[in-house]
Amino acid sequence: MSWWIIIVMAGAAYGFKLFGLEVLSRVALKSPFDSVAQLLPVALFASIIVQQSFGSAGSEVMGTRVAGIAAGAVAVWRKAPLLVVIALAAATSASLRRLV
Amino acid sequence: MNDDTAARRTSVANVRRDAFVLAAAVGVVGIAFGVLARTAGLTVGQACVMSLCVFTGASQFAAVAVISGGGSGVAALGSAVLLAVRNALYGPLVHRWLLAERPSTRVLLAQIVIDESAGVGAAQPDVESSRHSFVAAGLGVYVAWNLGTLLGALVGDVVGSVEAWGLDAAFPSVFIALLAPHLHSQPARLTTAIAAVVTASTIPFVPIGVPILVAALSVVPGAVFTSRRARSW
Repeated sequence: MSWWIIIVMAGAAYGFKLFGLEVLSRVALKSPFDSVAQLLPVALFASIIVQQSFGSAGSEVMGTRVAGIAAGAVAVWRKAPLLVVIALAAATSASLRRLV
Repeated sequence: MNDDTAARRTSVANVRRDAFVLAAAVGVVGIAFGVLARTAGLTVGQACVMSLCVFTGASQFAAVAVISGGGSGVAALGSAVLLAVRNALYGPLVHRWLLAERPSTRVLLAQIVIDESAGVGAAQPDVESSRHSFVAAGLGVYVAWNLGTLLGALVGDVVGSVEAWGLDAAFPSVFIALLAPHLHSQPARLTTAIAAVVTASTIPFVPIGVPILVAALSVVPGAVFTSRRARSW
């Protein structure tokens, strides 16, 4: 991979982060956009969850992945700490993969 | 008063523990990235500079995957940039946690505005614990991601695949944990439902990185709902 790709990627990635933090935030602090800023992470996380769970539809690891995520979701629902959520989700998928 | 101090100390300890756990999991994925980057033909230096300077896992994986699939540099850049846009959308919320910081500090902290740090911050009940959690998770993940990349790039496949460890199931679960505290509010539940449906129905038709940007528009009904209710009070 040539260096220019890495340099442009770095510039773009940092540029977006800084733009959001210092420019978008000025717009969003005004009242009609206030709830938008609060709700944006919610929309993005819901999207990430769906994308990471079902994005690679058809791949053979998807079934065991979804089983692990379901185990993780139950742990979240039971208000388990993050360590337990991660361990349970990973262990469920990993052990199912070894069994199947 | 004592109870209050004790409760705060417990919550700070919990924040640090969660940040550490999250960082450790990200570190393992960093190893996988380092391995993949070398397989795609990046040098150890390139893999490490990418993790240090780009620091957005999704973009980095996408770029390396396009290259190893035989795609062009422009194609790699395209999907990486699309996946990086969403970090701008966390800015407005993160800015509130950092109002007390000097502008020069905020410019530095911009580098750690990513899904994980924004999520851990947004899951906290007040601004001070949001700031603390955001910084702890962001810095922890930054260190772990870069150490992981270096290790993976140098040593090669030391841990087996991300799938063998079930980490592909762990990360969506982390985001479920980060989303859960928001689900007490009705606008957030509405936003979650719309964003999930929008993402699922756009994935097959648009390039990688686009579904999440379309899903960002799902905030509109929830935001309208919130401001209507605020006005009627």
